[in-house]
Amino acid sequence: MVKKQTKGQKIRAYLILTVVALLFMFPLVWMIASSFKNDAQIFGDISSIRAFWPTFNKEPFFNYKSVVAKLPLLSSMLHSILYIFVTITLSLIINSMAGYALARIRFPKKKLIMTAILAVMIIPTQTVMLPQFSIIYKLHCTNSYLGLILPALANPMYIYLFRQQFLGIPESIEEAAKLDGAGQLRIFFQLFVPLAKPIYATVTILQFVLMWNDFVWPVMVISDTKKQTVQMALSSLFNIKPVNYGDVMAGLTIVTIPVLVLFLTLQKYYVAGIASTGAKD
Amino acid sequence: MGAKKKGQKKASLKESQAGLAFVAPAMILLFIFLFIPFLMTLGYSFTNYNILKPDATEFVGLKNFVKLTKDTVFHKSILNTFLFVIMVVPLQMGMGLGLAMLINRKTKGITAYRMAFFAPTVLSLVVVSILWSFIYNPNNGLLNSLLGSVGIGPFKFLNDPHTAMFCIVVLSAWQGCGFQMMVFLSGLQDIPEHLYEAAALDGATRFQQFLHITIPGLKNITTFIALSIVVSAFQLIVQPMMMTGGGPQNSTMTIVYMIYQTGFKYNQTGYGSAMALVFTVMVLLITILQNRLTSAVDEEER
Repeated sequence: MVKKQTKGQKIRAYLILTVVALLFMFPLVWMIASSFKNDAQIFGDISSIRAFWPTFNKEPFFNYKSVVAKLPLLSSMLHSILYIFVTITLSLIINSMAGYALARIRFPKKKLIMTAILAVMIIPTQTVMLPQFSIIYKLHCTNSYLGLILPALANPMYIYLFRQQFLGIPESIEEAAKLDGAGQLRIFFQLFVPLAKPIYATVTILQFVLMWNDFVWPVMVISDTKKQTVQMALSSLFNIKPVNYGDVMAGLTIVTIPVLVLFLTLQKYYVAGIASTGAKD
Repeated sequence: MGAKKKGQKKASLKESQAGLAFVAPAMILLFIFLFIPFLMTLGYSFTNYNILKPDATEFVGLKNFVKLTKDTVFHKSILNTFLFVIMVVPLQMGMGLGLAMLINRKTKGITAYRMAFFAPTVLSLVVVSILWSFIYNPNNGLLNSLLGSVGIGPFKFLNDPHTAMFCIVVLSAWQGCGFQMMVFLSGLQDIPEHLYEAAALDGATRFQQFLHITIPGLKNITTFIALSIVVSAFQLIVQPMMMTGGGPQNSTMTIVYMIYQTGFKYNQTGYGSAMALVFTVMVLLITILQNRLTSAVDEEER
């Protein structure tokens, strides 16, 4: 807008935003507030606005301590972080190399390969869920993190994102290197990877959120409770009857922290990723 | 698609080898974990394959599909899935667009609001399902308690077959709409400011500006958003799995949940694969239909 907003308009805008934000955030505020209360306090406050205000007891983090003692929540978080870290490291290499080749290298059958990748992109995960499981079963990878890692390594969507990014880098970049006789591997790692850092950050956070939050596939692959992923551990907490609300609220909060931290540090790239998957074509 | 042809020179042998080597790992993995399973789904659906009794596998022809036509729970799950899609798509899009328009301004602190609206999308569906089960709990849940204090309710929410699916719709739209907000926002910011200025000079009201500038400006993005919500809404499983077990009276049983239960829990891989095949055909048909519709609209406007 060219004309300046008046003070009244500004206040009105903030007011509307705040009301909408409060309405929108009430489940999360309730979750965090309740994670500091015992069940008597949670249900004592539940029919008033105090439900959204934490009560600090003598030991404010007692629910957190008790949920960590009852469940192997921390170890399952550690396991999840480790296998996701391995997956993402490999996935970045595999998918970005494929995306780079499809964008910048001339080789036979390239068009066919590109078409195939676009085609498999439409296959819904649920279509292949059962046979994927029987392949993992035959490879003896059930009850192992390999069963979670292997199917997550190559991803047509990420290949496409990398390809788009590498297509946008000007040709002059590699010409000098080619004249120097540098091989593709060197050109890729020394010239292109540093230029494409943002898309690596984007794919990292997209895949982290996806895998951290995944539930159905880990439930199928992992049956040993010691190897449970973080979401499985959380769901078992919900299934212990009677449900202790304070414990569960603390558990929900703990599990949400890593994604939230990663998201807040990398949010620029996450948002860019969402916008770029949406705005193109 | 933007695959530009650069240079007429033929690829050198060295370059070809490098190119193939670069794509090989991804292609091999996609082949094993996506393409082969896709063919296996096709194959399994004509057998009675059971993962625990692989030796007893027999070709059964169309038996699984005939069984599907008589399976009333499967019919119900298709109906429920469509019901979910029909309700969640407009709600989630509307919420996404509304929020995007709210935060499309350059005032101080707007990032904090944007983060607040976006936060639910990074929560897992497990977290969201557990949290909303507490909110919807008919006896001592948050919603009934708050509504009760102003004399409304109580409602049975997830325990009533008439309202259970709608309850899942609400939390799903709440969890997901932050994504659509971001995409809509990038679309809104691409609309040139001077269009609004010119319209305002001509005396157009805010609503007219919305109708004649904002909506057409967001057309392409809206198509993309609609399709992505439809496709992900079709895959609904975690919420009913965590919150209702598909009940009450199968009112929240969905196609994917049935595939999971039949093929994995009851080990009827063959029958489950037949369901998965029907599911795939539906998703593909909708994708094609939507592409057709949008290209038809494009042509009309030309």
